[in-house]
Amino acid sequence: MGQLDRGRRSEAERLVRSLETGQVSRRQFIGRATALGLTFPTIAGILAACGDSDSGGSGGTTGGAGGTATAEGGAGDLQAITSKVYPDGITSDPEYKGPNGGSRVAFLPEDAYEGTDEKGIRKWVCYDFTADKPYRIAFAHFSAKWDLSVEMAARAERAIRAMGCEPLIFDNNFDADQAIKNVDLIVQQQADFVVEAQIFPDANKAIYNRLEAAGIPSGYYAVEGPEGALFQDAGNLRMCTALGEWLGEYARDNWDGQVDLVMLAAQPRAGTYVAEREVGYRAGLKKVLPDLPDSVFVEFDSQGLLDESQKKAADVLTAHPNAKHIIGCGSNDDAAVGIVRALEAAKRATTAAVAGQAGQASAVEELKKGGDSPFKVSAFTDIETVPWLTAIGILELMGGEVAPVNFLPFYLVDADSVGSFPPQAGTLG
Amino acid sequence: MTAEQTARPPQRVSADDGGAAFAARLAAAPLARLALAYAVLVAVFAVTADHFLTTDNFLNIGRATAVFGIAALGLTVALIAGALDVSFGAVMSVCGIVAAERIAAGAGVVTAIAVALAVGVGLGLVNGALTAALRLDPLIVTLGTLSIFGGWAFLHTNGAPTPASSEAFAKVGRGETLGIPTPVVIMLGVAVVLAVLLRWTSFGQRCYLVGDNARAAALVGVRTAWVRAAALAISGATAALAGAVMVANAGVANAGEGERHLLNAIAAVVIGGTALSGGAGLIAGTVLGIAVLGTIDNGLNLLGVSSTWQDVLKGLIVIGALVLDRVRRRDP
Repeated sequence: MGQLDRGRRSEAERLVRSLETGQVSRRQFIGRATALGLTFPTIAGILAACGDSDSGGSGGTTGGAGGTATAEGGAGDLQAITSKVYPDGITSDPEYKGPNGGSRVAFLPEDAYEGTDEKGIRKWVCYDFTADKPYRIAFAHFSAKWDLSVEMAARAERAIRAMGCEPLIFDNNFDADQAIKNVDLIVQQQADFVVEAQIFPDANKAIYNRLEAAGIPSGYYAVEGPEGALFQDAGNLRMCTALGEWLGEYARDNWDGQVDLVMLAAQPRAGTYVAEREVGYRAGLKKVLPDLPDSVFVEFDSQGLLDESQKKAADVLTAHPNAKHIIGCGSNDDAAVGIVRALEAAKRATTAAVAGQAGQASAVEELKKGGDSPFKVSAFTDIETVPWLTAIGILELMGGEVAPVNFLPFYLVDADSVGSFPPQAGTLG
Repeated sequence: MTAEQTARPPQRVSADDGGAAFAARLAAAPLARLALAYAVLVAVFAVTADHFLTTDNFLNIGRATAVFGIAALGLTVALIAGALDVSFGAVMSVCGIVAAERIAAGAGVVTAIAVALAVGVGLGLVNGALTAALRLDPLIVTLGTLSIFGGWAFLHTNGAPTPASSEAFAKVGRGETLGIPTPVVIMLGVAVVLAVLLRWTSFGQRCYLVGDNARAAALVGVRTAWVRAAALAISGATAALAGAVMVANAGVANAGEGERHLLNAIAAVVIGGTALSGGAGLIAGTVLGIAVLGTIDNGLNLLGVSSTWQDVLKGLIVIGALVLDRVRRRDP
């Protein structure tokens, strides 16, 4: 984790310098500092040290029915957290456009937790928040066939109960038709708010329309809904930009910035939001290595699958026999490991660096190999943050103002840190 | 119909016949026709795609096709016996998980693969027993067991991946034997064994007979249910082996992984000339079918053609192969 912490520190230092020199506004500073995981006391301290203290960040209010609260309010109060996260104008990033075309974006700060529970699971402060009514909150998760999805649903269920509401859990079974059928049941059971987690962007639009017709507000997790709909994710663009920067720094530090080939194992059939991963990788790499020519980038359809990615990457390597310093960017971890397998088979793994995201088991196994594997880094999101969207929905039901796009923290995990990162699944027992 | 009838070698050509007659007879032999088509395919990519005609690239093709290829070879035997086994993808998933669990429990590579093979054979026999007991078309039975076996894989693992972190096991999926990727060596070994089985054993001949006309086979004393059950067990065994190789390459077993190989394996068998109705086909044809599919993927990748177009092209080739098969069988 040392290298990662150093990377984040240096990014924070750059940000502070930008604030000092006036390159970023105070508003932009707060948004970006929150994204970097700086706590609000730290941000407030920096702002105070850098000049006047009129940011409004510490005194922001929400329009929620629960009344106003200050950012320094009790950490166990959802209102306090929301005022930290998205009071008007505080954490909005006006430069961000998408995935829904909106520019009001919220970030969940790392200090939205307090301690751990008896099982060692980090305790989310929203558990101390109680809704004004026992709303019926539906959570339709990706599939019971995916362990992580089951864990997400379990956490959502626990959080919904903790907030004094009634959970309705549905299994979308990785199937658009099933997801749409579930909507009929959700409407029948008169849910007050729905969180949808399923993988087909077009199906989300149909789901949104059905729910809207029934007068039920909804939020979408990981795969975007229609424009303007509530959305929560780690943010493909920001996450993969960070990974791209990491890889760029690796190339700069180890290869003198010389990169001959960048393989982007994409998922073009997964929609525009997922495509932001490749945009992020490119942006991150170019940020660190601005002279990197476009000609070194080769994008292929990995379908997010290990063997498909391996096959395509092997062919790309065949087509570029003289490429020595090679970077691999996986749309997810399986796609990244596919690149790794192709590099190994071509005996070109020693001068390669590969990144992925999602915290899949294949990545964990690769990262555990340490220096023996070209798989260098992956971005993991924190499963404990999944229920946040349910809280945002409840806040909206209570009349609160919420940001349409909400970003969660993520972690860059490398060989040093993979052993200490909490498991993504299996923690609820 | 016997193997000799379906895969009759070209008759000796005398000098008087001339080149045209030889070419005509060659073109009339399905296997030779496929080999010719493959040669044309290779020639086209050799001219149009840089770096296509290299040893490393052909090893790439082998590596990319080995997993579904191993499964396709066993499927060929089942299909020749008149049993279209669509459950093999789920058997691959189940047996991959079994192998990974054995490895995780500290078992050796041979033990892990042997247990996976035993499970694969067992599941194949379940298919055979259900087909005989329920007197149902094997396609219907294996459609059902595809869902049952696949569902069991998810229930057993709760959808969680099973790591198979063993260097020795990894070599089965990623290693090389005499400079050739080990999965390719395994695939070729399976091909030789099954080709011998079909060509030179009475069981092989019975597979053709049962597949061509089960009623006639029964009338001459062939135990058709047993033959089909054995053929399905062979399909289960190769699916198990393919599943183990798949997991050894990935390092992790996931429920649902094997099912993705369904289309490619069936396509390879069909392109290779095995009749969907049973009774005709050759292992050599399936090997060529595997090579055709792998080469198309590889050549189009090298040319930068999008994978969506590749899917379209593959679908057209499968339909074309089926149409050709039908036309050929109508010809006297």
